[in-house]
Amino acid sequence: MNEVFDVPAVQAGVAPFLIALIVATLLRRSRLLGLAVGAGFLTAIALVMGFSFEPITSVQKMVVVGVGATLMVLVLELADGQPTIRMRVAMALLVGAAAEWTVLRLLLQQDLVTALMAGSAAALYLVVLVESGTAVGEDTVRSSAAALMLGLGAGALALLGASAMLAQIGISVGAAAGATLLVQMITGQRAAGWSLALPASVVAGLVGLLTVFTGELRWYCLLPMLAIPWATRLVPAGTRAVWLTAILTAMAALVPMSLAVGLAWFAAAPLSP
Amino acid sequence: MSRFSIAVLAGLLPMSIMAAPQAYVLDTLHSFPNFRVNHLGMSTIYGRFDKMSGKAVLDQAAKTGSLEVKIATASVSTGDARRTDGTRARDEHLRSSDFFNSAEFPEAIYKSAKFNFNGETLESIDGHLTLLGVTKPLKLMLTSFKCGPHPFNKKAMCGGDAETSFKRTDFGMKFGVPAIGDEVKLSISIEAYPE
Repeated sequence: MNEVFDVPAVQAGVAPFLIALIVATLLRRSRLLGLAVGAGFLTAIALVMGFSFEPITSVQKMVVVGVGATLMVLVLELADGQPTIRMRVAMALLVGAAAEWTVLRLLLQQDLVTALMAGSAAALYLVVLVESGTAVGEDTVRSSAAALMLGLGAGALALLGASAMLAQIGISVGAAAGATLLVQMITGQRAAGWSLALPASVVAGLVGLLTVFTGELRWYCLLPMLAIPWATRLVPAGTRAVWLTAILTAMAALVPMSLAVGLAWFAAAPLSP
Repeated sequence: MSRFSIAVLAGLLPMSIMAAPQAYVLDTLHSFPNFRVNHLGMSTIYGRFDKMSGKAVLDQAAKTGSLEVKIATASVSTGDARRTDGTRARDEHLRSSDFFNSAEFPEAIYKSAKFNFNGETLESIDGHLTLLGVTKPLKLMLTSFKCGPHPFNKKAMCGGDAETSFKRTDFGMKFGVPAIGDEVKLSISIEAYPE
């Protein structure tokens, strides 16, 4: 039985999906569907690397930030209402600081100018990704589709960037977000809340950044990922069935995701045999 | 001073020089840490780090010594540096955060302040390995050790081979266990010249 949990597909896909499905089913009528994504993420972490934080590496810092983002869903949704400008600014500052903290030891290995540029770019990337992810939060089908493609895209980029562990973490977030989308498709009802995409945006963003800093991924391969949440807006809100909207929205988000993965694939290929 | 006293002092002088500790610098072109690890329970993967530097101090008369070596983790080499099919090579994977995380931890360091002699023979070295920011005790068992002149240029030098093993999960390197073995067997070859 234990051997099943050693299989990478189970660690990254099956287990996080099933756990997220259970949590999403229980929370389907609440504003806390984002917790299901966090539950899937934590399941993958438990199976892939465990929760040892001594000493704390950049990947382990990412886990801490992912847990923090999941807990933020609780805080933000229990505050009720839609996010205010002040709330968005505070979140942006927090996310930027989290990005810097996560990659700090990596920046310290660089010269000052490179570290400042790389650190600024990392913080800006994560802030923009999280802001665009939560900006589509008013429609939880869009949020779920965006989170699905952000997770799967980050996982694919990590695999092409030579890190299988980061790939598993990214894919687990996509799998968990897929579970939240599936619950809404089956019940035919959108969930409430606006922060569903927050944990997925944060973790997928950090997976991408760490693959650039510690793996072989070129930085420009991350840029199309920023368009994933916006691509979900290409499917106009209407009276069609939730399941159809979910499929169309996911397909729209698949376009920038595929562009990011295609860039990474060609960047990995040698120029000549 | 009597002639006898002078003769005694002259006789003692070389012995005092021999008792002095001698500092050595590792010859980076002839010093390498090699490792092997079980793969899928099927075969053994061999690799080495191409860049190792360090210093040692040896006092053969007093039978004491110290050693500090630094291994560049990004120099890991297992014979799969680059592939032509667009997939990532094993050496690239080993440098990533899954294994040696070279971007975050560019060096693995071994430090020792205790050399163990069995008679005139250096038998083992007690020290600590720092890998991925984790420091654990690690004992090196010497399989050979010799000091003498270089056979061609006649410079004084010392050289030896040491073996040890450790569990990579003790240092937080958990990816792929048990498919990729937890136990890593290390063979270190060192040649060094007086500083």
